[in-house]
Amino acid sequence: MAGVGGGNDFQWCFSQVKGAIDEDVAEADIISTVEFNYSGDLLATGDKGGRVVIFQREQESKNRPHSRGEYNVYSTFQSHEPEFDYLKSLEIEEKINKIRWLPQQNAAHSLLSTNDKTIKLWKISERDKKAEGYNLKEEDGRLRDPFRITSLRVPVLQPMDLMVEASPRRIFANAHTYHINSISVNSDHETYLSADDLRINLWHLEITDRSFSILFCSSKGTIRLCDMRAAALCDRHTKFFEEPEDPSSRSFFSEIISSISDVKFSHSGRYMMTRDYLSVKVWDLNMENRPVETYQVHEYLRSKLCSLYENDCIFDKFECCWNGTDSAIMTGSYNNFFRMFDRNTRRDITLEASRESSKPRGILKPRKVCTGGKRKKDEISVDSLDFNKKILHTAWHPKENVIAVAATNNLYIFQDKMN
Amino acid sequence: MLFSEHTNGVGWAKMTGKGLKRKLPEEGDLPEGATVQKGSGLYSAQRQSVLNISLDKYNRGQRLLEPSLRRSVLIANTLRQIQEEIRQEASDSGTPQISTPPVAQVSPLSESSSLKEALPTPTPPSRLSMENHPMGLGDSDDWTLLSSEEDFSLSSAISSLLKELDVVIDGSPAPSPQRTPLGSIENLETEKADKQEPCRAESKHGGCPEGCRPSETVFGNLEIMSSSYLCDVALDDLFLDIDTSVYEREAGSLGSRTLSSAASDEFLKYLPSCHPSSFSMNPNARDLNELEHIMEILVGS
Repeated sequence: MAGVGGGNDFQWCFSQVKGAIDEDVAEADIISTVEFNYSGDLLATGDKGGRVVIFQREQESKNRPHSRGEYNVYSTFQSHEPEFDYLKSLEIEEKINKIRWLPQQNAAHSLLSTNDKTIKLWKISERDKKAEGYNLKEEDGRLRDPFRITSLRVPVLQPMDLMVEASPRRIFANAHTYHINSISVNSDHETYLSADDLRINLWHLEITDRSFSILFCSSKGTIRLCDMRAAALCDRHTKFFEEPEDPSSRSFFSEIISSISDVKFSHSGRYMMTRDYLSVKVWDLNMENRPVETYQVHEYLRSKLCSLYENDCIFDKFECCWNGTDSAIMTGSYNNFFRMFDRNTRRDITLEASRESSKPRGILKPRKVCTGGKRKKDEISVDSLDFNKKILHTAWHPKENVIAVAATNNLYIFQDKMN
Repeated sequence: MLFSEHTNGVGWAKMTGKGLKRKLPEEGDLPEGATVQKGSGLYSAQRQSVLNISLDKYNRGQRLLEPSLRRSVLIANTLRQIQEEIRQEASDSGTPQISTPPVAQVSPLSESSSLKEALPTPTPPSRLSMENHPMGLGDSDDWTLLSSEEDFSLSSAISSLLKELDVVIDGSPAPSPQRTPLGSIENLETEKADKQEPCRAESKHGGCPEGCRPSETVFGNLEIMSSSYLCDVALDDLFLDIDTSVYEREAGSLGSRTLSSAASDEFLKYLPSCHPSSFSMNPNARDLNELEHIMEILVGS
C-alpha cells in the first residue's frame, strides 16, 4: 500500500465532498473530529453543534468494479447539547472533541463521543424488520380490549425500510475539570482512557460513576508513556520522551511551539507520532532521547510566530494520522493545505482541499508555498495564506488509500487513482 | 469562529490572504532567536511586543466559555519567561557597579568600617555615601557627585535601599537579590482539597521550581474519584499570583533604564509626578528627585 503522491506511481484524486457550499459558514457546522471505524466501512464526523454524522461506504457495484464505494449518510444524531455550569458560571460547549469507535461485538456499532466534559457511549443499530400482528395492541399501538380478543396469532416479522437508530447507552460525566481533548479505547475493549489538559482518567465501559485518575505533569515537548500492564501505579513503569532543545533556535515562543497537540500510536504499536506546531516527529518507543524522524510541516511559519501568537493561531491543535501500514503519515496545515510524508522514500507532498479542485476523480495537484525569493507560477506566498482555513482533523482508512479531510464545515474524501 | 477576537491594536493586519497591507513595520516577523542579538534594541522591541500581547491575552475579561488550560498555561509561561529575562538583565546591569555583594551594603553599622577597609576597589561616590549613611541619604551635597554615567549605580542604590527596607520592615535577613513578586504557580494551591496537585508550569529546564513536588511522586498517584464535582479552583485562581501590574509599569517604562527591578516599581507608585528642579540642567534631575523622595519616605518611616 503506497502512501504518498508525486511521481507516476501514485496520485490522489478527489472522490467526494460533504457539507454546504456556502461561503457563509454556520459555526455549528464546523467539523471538529473525523474517525474511520476498524473496517473502514463507517466514517464518523462530529461538529461544533454537537451532532454526529456517520457515513457508510456503499458496496462496490458490479457495474463499476474500478471505482470504490462512495460514502453516504448512514446515521445522524445529536450527541451533546450545550450546558451551563452553574457553579462556575460557564457555558459548556456541545462541540464534539473526539469520536472513537469501539470494536464491533455484535450487529450493532458502538462509539464513544465526547465534548469538553461528558463522554457518551452510543449504540448504533439497524432495524430492517418489524413485528406485525401483535395480540394485545393494534398496529398503531393502541391497546386492544382483552375481552375482545377471540383468537391468538403469532406476530410475523415483516421487512421495512432500513432504520438506523442511535441510542445512548452510557454517560460518563463529571470527571474532568478541564476540557477533555482525547479518548482512547484499550485493547482489552473493556476500558478506555479519557484525557484533559491535566489528567488522564481510566474508565470501565460498564461503570459510569467511577473512574481512576492518573495525574501527571503537563510539560512542554515531552511525552510520558505509562505501561499499565506492569503496575497500577504509573510512576515506575514510565518512559519519558524528550528531545533536547536546540539552544540556538530558542525564542519567546519555543515553549508554545513545542507543545504537543496530538499523539498517535502506529498500527504496529512500535512507533508513536507527535505533532507540535511546526513539525511531526516519529518516535521509536524503545528510544526516549530523541525522535527517529522529524518532518517539517510548515517551517515557513517560524518567522511569523509573533503574529500567529497575536491572532491565537499558534494555539491551533493540529492532528496527525498514520496510514494502515504505517509507511506514511498525514497532517493538516493552513489555507486548507494538508501534508503527507512517505517514511520510506522520504518524499512529501502538499495538497489542498478546495472546491476548485473537486472535479469527480480529478487528480489533486501538488501545492507549494513560496518561502522567499521569486515566486514561481502556481506557488503561493506565505503572506497570502488564509489562516482562517485550517485543516486540523484528518483520518486515513485503516486498509486502503482513502482519506477523509475536514476543512471547516466540509468533509473531503480523497482516494488513490486506480491506474 | 474563525479568528479569535484577540487581535489588539499593535498594528498588525490579519493574515486573511486577501492581500491586506500591514500598517506598521513587523518587528515580530523578523526571525527570532538566531539572528537577533539578545542585547540589541531590536530584541528588546520584539520582547516588548510579545509582552504586550501576552498581557493583553492574560488580562482578557472572563468569557462565557471556560478558557483552555493549555493555552492559559502557555501564555503565563511566556509572560514569566520574559519577566525572568528582564530581571536577569536588571541584575546583570547592576552588578558591575557593585564591587561587594549587595548584602554587604545592609550590614549593621558596626561592621561598616571593617567593610570599608575590605573594599578592593573604590566604589562610586553614591556607594560610599550609602555606606556612611545606610538609611539617610538626605545630604543634598551628595547629589552633585552623581553624573550621567551613574544611572546604573542609581538603580543598584535603590535596589539596596529597598533591601534594607526589607530588613527594617520584616526584621529578617535581606532576601536574595532576586525578589520574586510573582510566586510560582505551583505554590498556589494550598486551598485545594485535592492534594495531588501537580506542577502546572514547569520551568524551561523541565524541572519544577522550589515549592513544587517532584514529578515522580506526583505521577504515581492513582486514586478512585467519585463523580461528584472536584474541588479544583477555577482557572483564574491559578494565576492570582502573577502580578500583572508589574508588567504594566514595565511596559510603560521600558525606555528608562533605571528602576527596572520589579520591587523598586512599587516605590515608584508613591512618587509624585516629576517636576522641574534646580537640577534641571542635569539630565538625571528627575531621577535624583525621585531618589530624594524615596529617601524622605525611608527616613520618615
